Amino acid sequence: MNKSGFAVLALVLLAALLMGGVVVAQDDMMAGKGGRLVVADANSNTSFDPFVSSWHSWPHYAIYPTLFSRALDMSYVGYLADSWEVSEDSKSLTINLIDYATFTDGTPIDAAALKWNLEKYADPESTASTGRALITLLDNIEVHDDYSFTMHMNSPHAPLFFVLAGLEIVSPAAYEAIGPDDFGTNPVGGGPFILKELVTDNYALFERNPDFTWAPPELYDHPGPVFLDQLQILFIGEEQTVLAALETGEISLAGIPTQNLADAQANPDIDVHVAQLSQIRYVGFNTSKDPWTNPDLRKAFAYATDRQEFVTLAWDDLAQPLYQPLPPTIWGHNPELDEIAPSFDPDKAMAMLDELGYVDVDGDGLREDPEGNAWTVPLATASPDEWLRQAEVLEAQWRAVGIPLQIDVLEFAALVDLTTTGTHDLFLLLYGYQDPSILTYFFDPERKGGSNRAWFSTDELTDLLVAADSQLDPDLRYEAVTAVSTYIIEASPWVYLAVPPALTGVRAELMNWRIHPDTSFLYWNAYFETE
Amino acid sequence: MVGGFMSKYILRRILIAFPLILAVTTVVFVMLRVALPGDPAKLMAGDRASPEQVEIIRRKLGLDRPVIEQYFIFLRNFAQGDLGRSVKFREPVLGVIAKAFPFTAKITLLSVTVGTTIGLLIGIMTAVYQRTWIDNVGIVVTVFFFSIPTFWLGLMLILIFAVGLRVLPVQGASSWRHFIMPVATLAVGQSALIARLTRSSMIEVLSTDYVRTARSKGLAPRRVLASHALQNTLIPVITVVGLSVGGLLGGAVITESIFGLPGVGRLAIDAISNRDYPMIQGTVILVAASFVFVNLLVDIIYAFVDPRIRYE
Repeated sequence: MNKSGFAVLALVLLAALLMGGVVVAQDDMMAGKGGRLVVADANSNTSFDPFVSSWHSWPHYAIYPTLFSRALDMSYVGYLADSWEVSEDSKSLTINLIDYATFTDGTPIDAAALKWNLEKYADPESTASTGRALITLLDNIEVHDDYSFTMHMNSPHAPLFFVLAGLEIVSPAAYEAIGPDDFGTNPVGGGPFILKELVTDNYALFERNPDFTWAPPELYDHPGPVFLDQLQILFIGEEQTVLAALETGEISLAGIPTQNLADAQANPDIDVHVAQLSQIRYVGFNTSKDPWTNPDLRKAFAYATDRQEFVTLAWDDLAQPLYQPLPPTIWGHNPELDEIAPSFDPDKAMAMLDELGYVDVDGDGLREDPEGNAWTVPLATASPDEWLRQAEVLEAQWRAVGIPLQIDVLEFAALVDLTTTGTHDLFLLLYGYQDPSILTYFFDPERKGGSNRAWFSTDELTDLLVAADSQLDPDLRYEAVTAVSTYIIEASPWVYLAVPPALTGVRAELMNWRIHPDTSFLYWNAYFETE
Repeated sequence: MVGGFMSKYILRRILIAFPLILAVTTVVFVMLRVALPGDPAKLMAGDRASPEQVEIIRRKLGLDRPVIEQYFIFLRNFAQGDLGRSVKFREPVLGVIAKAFPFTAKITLLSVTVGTTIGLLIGIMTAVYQRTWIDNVGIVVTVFFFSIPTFWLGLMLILIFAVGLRVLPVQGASSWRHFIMPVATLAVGQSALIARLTRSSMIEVLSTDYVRTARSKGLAPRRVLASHALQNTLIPVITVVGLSVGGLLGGAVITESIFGLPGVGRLAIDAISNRDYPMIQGTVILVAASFVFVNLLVDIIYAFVDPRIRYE
């Protein structure tokens, strides 16, 4: 063997030693860690095909990776994306992918795979509930090499990273081989887990993906594979059953109902985490129907609403009072806006109602309409007890200023459907999201009869929403979102009520978990101690 | 000959069952689309979908066609054994129901068997020892059992046996232990119903002339009870047991939800919430077919229990 032969041999041996060292280190890191994390999530009881599923939660993000993720400071960080650059006109995004990620069928997660996925999400015929923005937004995708590509957009889109962070990336080869009819039960992704068993309407069992080593370092201590051996998702939703199963250790993680918080906190086997959801409860007015076309009347209801008392009575003070369309848990919330928003002032509410002609003619303590006829304010609400209790709190508060409320209890789907008819009056609803662009969906003139349940839009608001959604600079976008919120507060199509609490109970045996500010559960570094 | 009459009767009942199931299915099909508020396409599309996207989903689900056309497509597929694909699961409805039905069938048969056995025992004892302390205790117990709401009993059993004593699992369906509490929950109500019915029926039978004659002939009380009284007492009991089985096969919704059992009842409720039309239709067909089948079975059993009944 000559000198160069020895040199090559030495290099090979060195490389082998280093690789062996890495494997040993990884084995050391994983030693004594494992177990099965069992969670209950009735909402995930849907197809696992991201192009048809209307719900994207635990199973989806266990199976599929995404391009971006959100760090603990809510900034966007790479997951499959290694580096990226936005063009000066904000209409192109060039992404360099990590070059070692693979789908669980062995095919690489490369630029071609990303192009296939993004184009499928952008297909107008797609029924995916995520990534719809791409349908009008995406012009074309230019692949530069195996691991880099550029997305060319028709216009700048501020929530682009938010959209991309939610898009689950599937194996194109597997999808085409399995077909859309069966992919939902035989999903192939490149996330931290692989589906082992799916018993429809019962549970899904996942096994650790042994090849997964691309967890975002900003969120996880080590890149993978995950420590847990298995993840099991039970499709059960009865909250007292779930809580009992958490107490006995049959499941490891569960949402805690407000009324059970004290018991859960007193249980040494359960760690309780209290936070606020990225969700709000509000009362909406059908602003296309008289008398709710009058912003002063709507505002009088806002002044008549005591949010502090509302959260006390409805959530034992665990919720947070809200005075503007975005909660503090969604980026874009501006605390200064609380100062300009109508807050509880019953005298002002009564004065405004008097001025509008709603006065108590017959002396029964309840107001009549400006023509002197009996006045009834119908409020449609969902049927679960929690919702009914909130409606009753409102009824009591509004009755105190003479507003005669009539609570109409509907099943949730019927309530949502009612708001699309335009015949409704007031409705008690919620929304949950993680980006201020949600306001566009609620006040888009094209979405009246759809998600614009208040049937409210003006040209000025539309311009403000477009400006907020097309501004990529964070500081400028914050200003634009503030302008949107200010306008909506002033117009009062909604009475903002509260930010509900997120109460999570976790078995004490589960180690090293964390809860993201967006209230998602970070479990890829979590584990149970094993022999 | 009796066998021949019976075969003809069964055949006739089966033939009648088809138009019955079809009629039920038709009513449900039309009611879902005409009277039930809520659009499956909108629910599936989610909050943020544009009207165009909702329209695409509606087209893909075939909901953009006239109701009558949708109905004929449904009938054609139904005739071929195809109940469509679930809007929610994107799996064939028949397959999903086939996975759920065994759980429901298991708790139905077990709870009805346990409940009926206990109910018969209590009913006979309270009738035989009428106006004694046994009767009084039996009446109190059955009234108590009958008054307990299913959801409350289920949660109490969970708190006592799963959370407190840790001897049974809270939820699931993977072993026989998972079925103890759901079966007990359903059997309690069933036993109370059967006990009350058996008691009143037995008291009536025990006062009839033929029982009095049997006693006066010197037959042992136990023989009078078993050979003469019980058989006639069973006829109304069989009717009620049949109705219970038929009802429970359509799903014990509350019990299945409380114990996390993946049965037909939970499936049906989820399907209604999600406006999953194919799944709702599938579960309704199952319920209708269950009732027809169980009623037929009850009629056949009548013939064996009561020789006076003939299906000619």
